[in-house]
Amino acid sequence: MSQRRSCVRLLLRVVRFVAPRRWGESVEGDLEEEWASGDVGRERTGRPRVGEVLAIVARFAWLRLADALDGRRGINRSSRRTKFGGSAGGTMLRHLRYGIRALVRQPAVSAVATLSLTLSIGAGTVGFSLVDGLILRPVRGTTDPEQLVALFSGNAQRPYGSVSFPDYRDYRASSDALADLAVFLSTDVEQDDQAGPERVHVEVVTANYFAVVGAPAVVGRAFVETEDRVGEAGVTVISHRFWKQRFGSDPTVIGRRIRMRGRPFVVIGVAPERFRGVTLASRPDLWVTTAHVGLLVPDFGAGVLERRHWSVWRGVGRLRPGQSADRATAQLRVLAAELERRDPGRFPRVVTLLPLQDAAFPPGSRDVVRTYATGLVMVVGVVLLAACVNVANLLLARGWARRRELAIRRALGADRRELFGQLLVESSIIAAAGGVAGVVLAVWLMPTVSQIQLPALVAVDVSLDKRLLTFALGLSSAVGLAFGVSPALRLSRADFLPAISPAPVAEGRHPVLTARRLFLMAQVALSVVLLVGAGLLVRTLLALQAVNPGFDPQALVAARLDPERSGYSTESATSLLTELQSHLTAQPAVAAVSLSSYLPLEPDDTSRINAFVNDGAMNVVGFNLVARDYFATMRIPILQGRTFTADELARGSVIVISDAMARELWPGQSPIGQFITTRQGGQRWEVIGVAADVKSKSLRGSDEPYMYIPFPRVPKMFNSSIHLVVRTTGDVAGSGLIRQALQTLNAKVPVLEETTLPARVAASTARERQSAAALAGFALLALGLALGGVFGLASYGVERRTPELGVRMALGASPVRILALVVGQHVMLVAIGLAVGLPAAAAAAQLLAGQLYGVSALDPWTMGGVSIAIAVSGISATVIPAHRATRIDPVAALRRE
Amino acid sequence: MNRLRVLGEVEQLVLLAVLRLHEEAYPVRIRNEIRARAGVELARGTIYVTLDRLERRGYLHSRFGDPTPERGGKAKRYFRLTARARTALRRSQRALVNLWVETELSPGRP
Repeated sequence: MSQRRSCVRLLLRVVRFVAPRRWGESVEGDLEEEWASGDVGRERTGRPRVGEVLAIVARFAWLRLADALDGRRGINRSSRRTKFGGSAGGTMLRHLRYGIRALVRQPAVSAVATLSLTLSIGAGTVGFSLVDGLILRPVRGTTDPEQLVALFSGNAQRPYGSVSFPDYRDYRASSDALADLAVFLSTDVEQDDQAGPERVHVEVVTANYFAVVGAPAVVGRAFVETEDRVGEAGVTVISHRFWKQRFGSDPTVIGRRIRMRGRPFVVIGVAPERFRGVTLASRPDLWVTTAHVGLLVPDFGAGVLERRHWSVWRGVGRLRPGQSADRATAQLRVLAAELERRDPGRFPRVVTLLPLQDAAFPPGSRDVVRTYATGLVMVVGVVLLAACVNVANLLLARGWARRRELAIRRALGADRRELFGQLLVESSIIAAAGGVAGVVLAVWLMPTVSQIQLPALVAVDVSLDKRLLTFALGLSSAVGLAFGVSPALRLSRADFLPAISPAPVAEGRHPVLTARRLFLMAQVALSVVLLVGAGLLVRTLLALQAVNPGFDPQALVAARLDPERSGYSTESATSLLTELQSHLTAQPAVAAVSLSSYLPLEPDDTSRINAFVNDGAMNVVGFNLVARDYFATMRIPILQGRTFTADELARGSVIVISDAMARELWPGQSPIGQFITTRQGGQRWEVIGVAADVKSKSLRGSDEPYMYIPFPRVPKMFNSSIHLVVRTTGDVAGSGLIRQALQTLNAKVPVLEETTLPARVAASTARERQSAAALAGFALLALGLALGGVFGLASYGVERRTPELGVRMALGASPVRILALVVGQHVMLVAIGLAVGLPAAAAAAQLLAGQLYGVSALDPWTMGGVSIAIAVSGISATVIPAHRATRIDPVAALRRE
Repeated sequence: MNRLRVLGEVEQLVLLAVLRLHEEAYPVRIRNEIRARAGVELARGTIYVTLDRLERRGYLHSRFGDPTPERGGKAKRYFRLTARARTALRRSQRALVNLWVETELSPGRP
């Protein structure tokens, strides 16, 4: 009760503030009277409620705004007749016409202000869309997304894992907080087509999937319950993008067939355009039902639907209206405990439901992505701030230049509110123009932004929609108001006499000028921070590019093949691959050929085996299956010993190890002739050679122990895919040679993936390259804005001091002195900005420290380089105005005032 | 001189209430009077902006009255009609009556 009272009290104060002066305190009094009478319970109007008081506030605010734009009807107002009569609308139109004329009369200033806003609103919008796609609403195209939850099943240490199919069935049947539950898993499949096999990304889902997520098909239909049953004919729903790319958005796509693994799948529907699956990591091209999981995911087989402890499915569910994820989780946990009791797994089951928007990230990547997004927001915010500061500066300067005109208008009786309205409209025009142009710029940049390779293999959906538009236009309106109001207020004030008098304003005691100077120094400081950051990232990039990957990537091409997936047995696959190798070696354009199960610079490389040394110590090492000539093909130097002989490749029990492994397992001695086993008491392998270290995961990684096992002595380990690596002589395209060889040998084996090693090396620095480019772009933008500010300030300063400078020149000051005067004054500002910016940059660089390589966050060369760049550009920006100062004709200048 | 304007419905209600309340017309009582006599519930904000508008257009004069303790020591703002307002009200009434008379919706007709 008293809370309401104090709320109303606060509101009454607001009412007093908002009500026009002619009302005085009577409105407040009225409300208090009504409030008080409610106490006594007299039969009156009843206490005013909070909402009603707010309504009064709103109406008074509107009244005052209309007043301000309209001008009070009274003796002061000249009764100008316009086409539209004396209405508020007519006044607005008048302000607009006048405002546009005024802006056009000063094109440079207007253009720079608009451009500043365009660039930063464009950048801001793009940044926001990235954040939106990453953090706010990563999953799109669904109905009522707040009701969607992701299902995780795991153990106490790792709760966010996958669920097994039988467990899913039980959860679905029993939870009443959930309206429905669906599961899915994703896989890549070759799709047979006239154009040759091509891999597609397929999601295997339960038939209720599309109903649960609320993404009804836009063409055709989604699955029905019966299509879940094993043995049913193959049907598929295709994604909108797939429909566009493969079928050219042909509306008759329903009924067409897509062959996968030899089976035809009939297209029955197309998913909505904005729906791209429920996780950020997976962008399915097609969806099929669980009936076909055995066919499409042979690693699992159809048994995956029956095995209680094969937890490979991701779950998505819809809450009943009014239910919460926590409540549903609690229910499921009860059931999980029961399941655990009946059929215990290795660890006690822990099941969790999270809101889908939070759970859309691949496990473990959420923090990385969040950091990235936060960094982006900060940078964009900083740049936007710099642009707004610029615009404010410019508007102030413009207003100052027009002070005489404004003062005269006031003296002739113009209403202050009228002038205020006028100036506000002008800055709003700039803000609106900047906003619209900014949105156009953002739309233009969107496709480029979509290509950005984000950390953690997350693909973001970046597209313009109503929210983005609202954000951008809201932003530009806020800017227009924020930076129009203050100058407008200031300039429409009553103290106009000094403005008309000819005496120049005393130097330094000018509040507007001081504000501008402060703004400028802040801008310079901001630019310094961004430039240092960009410089550090660039140096990181260069350092990484200089890292020796351990092999020679030039003229190397690799193709990944998996004959067993296409139906070959292990033996026939091995002999096919060996034949391929021999065939290609014989080609004149081929310098060397080999096979290996892994390529270097594989960020997802998690292949590890245990290696036991004589004394039983276990080491975890990386491994690679390599055929003959591997080291020669990759040009990896052999540091000790030798490589495999032909016999050893087929039958030997020998390995070649990396230098790091030698150092770690046999420090201080030669590893040649030593033995390891890969299982306690298992097969022994003799070390016959040591190869130089190769970067197996990334250029940044430190060298890890690694062993090379001969192929085909061991034809496969963990999976059956293998890379064919070809070094060509000269410019011949290796991939063409590989395909030709496949054809010649009549191998019905698709090339699953092909890459050139130089591209692979370049790709391993892709993220650093993009971050550096992005930050550099922003930094240059900020610098450009700051320099624009310096230029503007210097011009303005010269203009204002023209009489003084005229006097100096008349008294004999040389042009050089004048130049030095002008330049010195403004370079001083830049210098202060630099002095403030460098420590700030040092602090900010700590945020980047984790990303850097080969350069410290406090790198003096970067800081020095940036300082010099700022100094030079700052001086250049003052040169033109300073030069103008030297051309002043003293006589004309003196006469002017 | 401005063209003769037609009074809006809300403006008429407010002016008539002010008329009825003689020298005691301030917003709280104006609102109550309109509710009691006309059975129309107007939002407080509407009352205020209408009074403001009418005053600016020269239909009302206002003065401040005495503060009272119930109002936290704040004065009331009293309104009264100007001659212009009276003319306008009469004109409105005549206009409406002339249109109403002998229609099927007239009071008294079944």
